[in-house]
Amino acid sequence: MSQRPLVALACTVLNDLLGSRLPKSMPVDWMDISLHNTPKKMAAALQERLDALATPSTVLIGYGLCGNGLVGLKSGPHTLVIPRTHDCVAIFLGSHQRYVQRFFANPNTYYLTKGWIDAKDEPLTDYRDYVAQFDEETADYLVEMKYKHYRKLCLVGFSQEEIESVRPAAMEIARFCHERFGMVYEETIGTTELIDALVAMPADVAQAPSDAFLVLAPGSEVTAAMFHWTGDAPPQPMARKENS
Amino acid sequence: MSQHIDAIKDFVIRGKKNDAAEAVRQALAAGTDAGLIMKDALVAAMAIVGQKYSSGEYFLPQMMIAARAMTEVIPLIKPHLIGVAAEKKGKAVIGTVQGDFHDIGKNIVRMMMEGAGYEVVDLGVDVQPEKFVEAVTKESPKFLLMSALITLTMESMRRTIELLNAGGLRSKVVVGVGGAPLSQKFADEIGADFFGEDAYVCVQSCNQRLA
Ligand code: B12
Repeated sequence: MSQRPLVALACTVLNDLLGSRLPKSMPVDWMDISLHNTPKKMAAALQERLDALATPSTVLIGYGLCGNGLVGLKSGPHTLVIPRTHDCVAIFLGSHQRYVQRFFANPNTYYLTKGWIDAKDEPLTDYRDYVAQFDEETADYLVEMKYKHYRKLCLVGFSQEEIESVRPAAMEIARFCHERFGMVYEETIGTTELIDALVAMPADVAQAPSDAFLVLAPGSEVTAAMFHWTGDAPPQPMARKENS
Repeated sequence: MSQHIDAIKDFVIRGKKNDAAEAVRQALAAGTDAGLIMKDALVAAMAIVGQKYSSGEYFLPQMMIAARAMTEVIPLIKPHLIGVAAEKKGKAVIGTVQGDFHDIGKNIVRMMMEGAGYEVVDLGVDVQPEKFVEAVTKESPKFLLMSALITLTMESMRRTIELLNAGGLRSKVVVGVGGAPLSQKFADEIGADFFGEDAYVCVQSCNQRLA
C-alpha cells in the first residue's frame, strides 16, 4: 500500500503559525481570511479545493467548526484531519478546553493575533476601510456598533519575540480601541500545541487518532455534532484504515 | 401616495438616512398613513435588505447603514402611530445569549418587531439563562426571542428552556430562536417553538402565533 500524499488546506490567519511549521515540500492551499465572514459559503469554497486534488490524499484542515462553516464538507476520496475546535481562537490557545475556560471567564474580550493583523482583519483597519468606503461619520457609527461591547483587547502571541515584533502594530490598534471604546489591552502567550500536533500527523492518520482532532474517513461528511465535547454528543467517527 | 412610500423605501434600502427622514416628513405632511409608512416602506425595505445580505449583494456595513436609516426615522413616525390606534400586538423579550456579544442581527430583529407593532423589551447582550427567565416572570411576554452567533454559546438556549420548564413557565411563552449558526433542527432539539432565518421571518412567525 502506497502512502497517501499529505497536503494542507487552511485559512490565511494560520499563514505564519502553520505555514512556517509545515515541510517546505508540502502543498498548501491558503484560503482567504474573509471567508469567516460568510460561514454559509465556507464548506462550498473548501469543497471546490478538495475536489480539485488529483490524488486521494490526507488533508490537514486549518479550520475549526467556524460558526458551522465546515458543516456539510465531504471528504470524498480523501481523509480529512480537522482540529476539533469551534474556531481559530481555540487553535491559538492550544485546546478546546482552554478556549472554553477563557471564553466564558472573559467573553467581552476581542482577540488579536499576528495572523489577523497581517491579514488586516482588526478594528483599526476596519475603521479606515469604512472611512474610505463611506465617510467619517458613517465609519464612526459602524465601529461603535460593532465594538462598543468589548472591554478587553487581547493579543495572543506565540513567543516573546513574536509579541515584541507585533507590539507596535497591536498598540496602535489598542490605542484606537481604548480611546473609542475604553478597551483595555493585554497580552497572552498562546501555544502551538494543536498546530504542532496537526503538523506531526502521519499520512496514515489511523495510527495517531486523538480526540483533539476529527479524522474524517473517505466518503464521510462533517457534522456539527462531531465537534461536541460534552453530554450526549455522538462519538467521533473512527478513522477507517485506508485500503488494504 | 405610493410614490412617497416608494421613495422612503428606496432611501432606507440605500441607507440614506437624511433623505429618508425628509421623505418621511413629506409623506406625513401629505397625509400618508403612518402605519402604512412603517409597514410598506420601512419593514418592507429591511426585508429586502435582508435578502440582499443573504444573496451576497450586500455586506455587513450596507446592512447596518440601512438599519441605521430605519432607526432614525422611526421616532418621526411613532407619534403619529398613537393617534392612528397603533395595533398593540403584545410584548416580546429579546436578548443575545450568555457569552455572546454579537448583536447586529438581534438589533435588526428588535427593530423589525417594533416596526410590526410589538412592544419589545431588549435585555442586551451576554444574557444569562436566569436573566431570561427572570424577565419572563416579570414582563409576562407573549414571546421570548434568543439570538446566538457562536456555536459555543447557542447551547445556553437549551439551558434557558430547561429553566423555563422547571419554573412552570414554558407553556406561558412562545420561544423563538435565531442567529446564523442555528437551524430548525437545533430549535426542535432544544424544544423551541420556532427558528427564524431572518428578522422578517421572525415577525411572520410571531404574527402566525398571535391568533
Ligand atoms: C460581525 C461579526 C462580529 C462583530 C460583531 C459586532 C456586533 N456588535 O455584533 C465583531 C467583529 C465585534 C465580532 C467579534 C467576535 N467574533 Co464574530 N462575527 C461576525 C460575523 C462576520 C457576522 C455576524 C453578523 O452580525 N451578521 C449579520 C447579522 C444581520 O446576521 P445574524 O446575526 O445572523 O442575524 C440575522 C438572522 O440570523 C436572524 N436572527 C438573529 N438573531 C435572531 C433571533 C431570533 C429569535 C430570530 C427568529 C432570528 C434571528 O435575523 C437577523 C437579521 O436578519 C460572523 C460570521 C457569521 N456568522 O455571519 C462572525 C462570527 C460569529 N464571529 C466569530 C468569532 C470567533 C468572534 C470573536 C471570538 C473573534 C475575536 N477576534 O475575538 C469575537 C466574539 C466575542 C464574543 N464573545 O462575542 C465566529 C464564531 C465562531 C464560533 N465558534 O461559532 C464567526 C462565526 C466567524 C467565524 N467564521 O469564525 N464578530
